[in-house]
Amino acid sequence: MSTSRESAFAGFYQQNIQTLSRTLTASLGDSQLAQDAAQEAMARACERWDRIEHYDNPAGWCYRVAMNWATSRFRKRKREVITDDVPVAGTFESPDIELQDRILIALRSLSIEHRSVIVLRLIEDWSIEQTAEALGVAPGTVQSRYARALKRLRAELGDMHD
Amino acid sequence: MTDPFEEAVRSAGRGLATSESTPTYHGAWKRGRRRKLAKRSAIAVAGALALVVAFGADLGRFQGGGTTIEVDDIASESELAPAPTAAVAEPTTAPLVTADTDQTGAAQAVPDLDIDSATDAAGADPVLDEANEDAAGSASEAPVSVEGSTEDASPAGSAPTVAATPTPVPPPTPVPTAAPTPVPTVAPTVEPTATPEVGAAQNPDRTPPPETATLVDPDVPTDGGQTDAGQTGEAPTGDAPNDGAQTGPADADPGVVDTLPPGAPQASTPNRLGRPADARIAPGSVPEQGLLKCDLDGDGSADAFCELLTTYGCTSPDQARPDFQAVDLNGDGALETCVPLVETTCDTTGDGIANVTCRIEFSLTEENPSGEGP
Repeated sequence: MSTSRESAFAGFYQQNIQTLSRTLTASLGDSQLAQDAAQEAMARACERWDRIEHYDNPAGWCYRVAMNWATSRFRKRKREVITDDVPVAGTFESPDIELQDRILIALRSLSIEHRSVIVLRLIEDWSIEQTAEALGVAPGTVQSRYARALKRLRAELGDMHD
Repeated sequence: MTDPFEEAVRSAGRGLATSESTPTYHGAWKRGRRRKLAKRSAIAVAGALALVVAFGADLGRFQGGGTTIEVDDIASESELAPAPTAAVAEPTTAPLVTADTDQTGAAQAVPDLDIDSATDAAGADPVLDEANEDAAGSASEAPVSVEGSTEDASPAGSAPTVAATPTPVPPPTPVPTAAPTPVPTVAPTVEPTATPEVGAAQNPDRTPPPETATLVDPDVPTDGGQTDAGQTGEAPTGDAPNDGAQTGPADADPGVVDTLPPGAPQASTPNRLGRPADARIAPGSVPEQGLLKCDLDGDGSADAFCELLTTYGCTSPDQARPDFQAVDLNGDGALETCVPLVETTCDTTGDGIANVTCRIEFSLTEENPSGEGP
């Protein structure tokens, strides 16, 4: 791979690795697994960078690859996707740490499909098409899942909503 | 859009920090490169293996094909082997029967035989054509063409004559020549068998050259063929034009000096050399009046006397000794060789294989059990 391609991939990596790790952490509920999944997805993107770089949403491809990899790894381990592991202690931009903590716990109570839609659509502000591409589903499915996931999340955080 | 709940969730999610030490792209880069190289190497190795396997398979198929060809050749030769034996009389018999019964008119109506049409009708391949054409001149090659003809003819098998004569017709007359005429009328299958004979009947002059008649080739058993022909009971017709060509020295009485005109078909001396000998010359046997002690039953003891008969030069029938015949071997029209007419053979080397023609004088066990000389 030439230097220009390496620099292109390096730019893509620097631009998306944090977001990818964050969304994966939110989706998987396991920061360490999210890190591994993100690295795995980036390595696969490097493998096929000649083709990936021309995609409309390479980050979506990486997210999908990472989620598939994490899911298969979960299955291999016969572990549940949702774990009780507390996310890596991080810094919250919001001053209301307790509220953020409740939101994240409520988020983990959702199914992986609903969680992924909430993470990509709401937290990362991806479009319906990007989210559909990343999740490998139809845009209509993204919309319906988003609506149901949001409704359920509201139910989980009822008192906060109130 | 400005739903406070959504904003709260968004801010909570974005506030989720990842690991402090975010790995650089180099890890993913090296990992990806390594996997790419490994994948390419695996593909290259797999491709090389596939090529090797395919190449090996092709070689095997090629070699197998060659082997098959050889096997086929061997098989055909083995199949043809009996042909010469049974062949001799058949040409005469089979054609006559066919012509008389089914295709008299047709066979007689077409005296000129087209080789090409004959072979086409018989479904023979070009090789067969060549073999058939060669068969006219060479008796040793005749079996091949005959074999092909009979194989082609037998499947159709409409004519009883063909089925009745399983033994292929061999040599003297070219197989393809006769094929066309009778075939079209009756059954194409009959052609091969009928053909040679018709051709023989109508081309009496196409008898094999003297060289072929001399039987120097030990691989061509001609004597057995005559025996089989006599046993076939196929109504051998003595009036067939090529009958003269078929008669060989075997028919002649031994001890009678027989000479043939140089132009006439030469009688073939029985050539049994190279086959198991009838008698074995006793080791260390000293000639006594031209006779050697020999062992007839293979028990190691001499029980007879044998006289070795070797070919010698002679230019006229008068010079032919008893049991010899003056013949023209080189086809120049002049007699130059006297060959023995005796069929018995002796082994002087002790390997059991006949290497010389000989005449067994008498049995020692009957007249001289002690093994003493005469």
